Amino acid sequence: MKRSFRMIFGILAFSACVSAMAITADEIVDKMQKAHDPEGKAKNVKTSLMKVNVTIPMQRIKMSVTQKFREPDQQITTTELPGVLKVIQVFDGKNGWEISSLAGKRLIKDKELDFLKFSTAISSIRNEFKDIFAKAELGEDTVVEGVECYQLIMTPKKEFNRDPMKCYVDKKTFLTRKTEMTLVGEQGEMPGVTIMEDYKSFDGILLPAKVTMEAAGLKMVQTVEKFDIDVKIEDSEFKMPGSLTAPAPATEAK
Amino acid sequence: MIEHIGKTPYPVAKFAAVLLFAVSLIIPAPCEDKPSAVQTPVLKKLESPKVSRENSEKILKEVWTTVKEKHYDEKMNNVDWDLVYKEHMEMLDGCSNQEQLVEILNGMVKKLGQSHMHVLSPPNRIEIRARSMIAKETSDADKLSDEEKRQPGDVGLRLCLAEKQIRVLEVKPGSAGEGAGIKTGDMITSINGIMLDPSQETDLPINFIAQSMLLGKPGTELALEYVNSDNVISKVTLKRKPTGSKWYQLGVIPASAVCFEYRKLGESIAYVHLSPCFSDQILLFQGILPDLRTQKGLIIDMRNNPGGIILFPNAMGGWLSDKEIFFGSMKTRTANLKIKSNPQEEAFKGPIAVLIDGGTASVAEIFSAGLQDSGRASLFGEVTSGACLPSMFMELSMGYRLQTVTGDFTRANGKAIEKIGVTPDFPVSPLLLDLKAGKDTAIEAAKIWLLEKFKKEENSTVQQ
Repeated sequence: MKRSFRMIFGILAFSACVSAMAITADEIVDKMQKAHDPEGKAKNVKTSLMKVNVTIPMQRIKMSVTQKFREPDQQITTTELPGVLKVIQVFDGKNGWEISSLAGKRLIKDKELDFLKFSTAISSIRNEFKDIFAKAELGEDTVVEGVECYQLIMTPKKEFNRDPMKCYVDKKTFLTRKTEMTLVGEQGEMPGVTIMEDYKSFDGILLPAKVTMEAAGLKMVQTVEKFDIDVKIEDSEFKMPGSLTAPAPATEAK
Repeated sequence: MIEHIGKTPYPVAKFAAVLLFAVSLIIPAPCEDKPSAVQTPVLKKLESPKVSRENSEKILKEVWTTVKEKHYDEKMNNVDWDLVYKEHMEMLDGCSNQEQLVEILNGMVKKLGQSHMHVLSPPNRIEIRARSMIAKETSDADKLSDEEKRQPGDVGLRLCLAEKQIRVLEVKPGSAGEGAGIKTGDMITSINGIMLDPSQETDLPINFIAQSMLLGKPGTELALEYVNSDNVISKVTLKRKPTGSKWYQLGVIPASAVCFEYRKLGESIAYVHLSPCFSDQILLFQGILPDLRTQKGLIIDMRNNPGGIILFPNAMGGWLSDKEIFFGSMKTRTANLKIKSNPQEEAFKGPIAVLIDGGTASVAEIFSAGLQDSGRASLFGEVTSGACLPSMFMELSMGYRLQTVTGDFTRANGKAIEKIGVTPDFPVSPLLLDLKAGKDTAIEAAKIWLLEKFKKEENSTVQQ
């Protein structure tokens, strides 16, 4: 009897200990928020400008990406591959369009528009988890680049029409180390894996200064050159070119 | 939301596919990097740099692994890739210099039996040094302006494969070729001492190799041997003149000369010759659009065009139709991407004839096939080269460069182009008699077709 009691007590004590150690997905999300914005500065940001230098090391190619952001859901992203192309992509909160030095103008539609809306939402500084995701679930713990991480499977809200994405969070710092999601472009969908490193404080907000993205066999290393908040962005920059119309249906093969 | 998953990845994520298309090539490695194209007497005197066994093994392993990782087919085109590795590792026993190593590496990647597989020596390789020595010896570049020195130099001859021989298709007015008395139809037998034998099997179309060998630094000379219409063999030395164009260089991809020619052929027909398929050619085409729209029909000359960036059909197609053109699908290991145009209101809307030949390769084939499959253009000429797989150039250790296949391509009609080529709607082959008479039969056929199209359009307008 004494022995059984001791056993039950032992099991209870072990369970209590385990439940004290276990962490929920919601708690991780909460800790992530505090880790990235320890001073709570993000909520006051109205606009931002981020300049990123991108290299494709194996091809020895350099380019630049500038993103102007007007909270909570408007952005202009300019990508320049010197001597090859310049693409300006705009999302005004509802519509998306693109102006390319080579391919001209086009409206962004369907799944690509959903992705643009989603990527704008997750690029917003002010948006919180609940603004974008319906839920987060814990996946298997994973080691990312030698760092022990929690794996979160995050399901976007229905309005984004997106599959869940995976996010790997440093167990010690609660900073994001890796994400896995489906990227959507004009040409179709492809899985994209992103590794975040070298977190630095930009106006009190922690950002990964080095980000490595791999998609369809192409590895791109991005380094943040500057990140300014509350920059001036003109309304006219979000005006859709008048000539943009939905593309005509595809011609049939002979 | 920055608190949760970080901000920086996503500006670039949106453009991943565009960037992939911008740096993915469907162009074979230019033949300037092929040893066969640079075997001059000076070069032969120079020894290839020594390479240690350890470094040879390292680079072989790197090439083998990279090809395996990047290839679109996990089964490696049904080739026993592990066995290939073993066999080629053993071949290193007799390898002592860079030239031998590159030969072994190329032998290894070619085991896949696909186009667009190539290993290039480090850029500071012996060939480049030899070429610069040759250029120095013969150049009178001091007379040229800095701007001219930066341009590609050419002798003003356009070559084609006619009746199984390399012959002159066109002689540019004022060129070194014209000055030397070379005429259309003349047969080119050797360039810089290298015999041009069309019966020999080559990785790249022989007419493309020959055409590339005519290019070089302005002011430099090349030795040409040819046979004229009276069967007289002549040897001439031609000095390359600046072309007014530029070299196109993107990362580690070997440089190519930008070629773009626009002229009006009369009867409201415009002619555009462009090569290769890079961004400059699209910008130049945009530049001529206002004038082009004053013309009723267009001939696009894609003969001897080796291809370029995969972005080309997407971008160029938009300026050729205000309706979407689907060019085909590119399948990589993780994605199935569609190549289609961005239709533009300002696009040229008249009928289009596209000229193709055995030198038309890669993205030039995709572009031509897409225009054909969509019914936007009719093709004139000969079956294309059938070298059409998406690839990437990448830098490896010690400066070696690898071009490796990353995707498979299926054209809009569901068929492959690799090893098959694109078949013209109207087969036209250059004949010696026509060349001698200064006739470009493909252009002539395209003109007749366009004029008939104009007539039909006029008749239908009258009937309406």
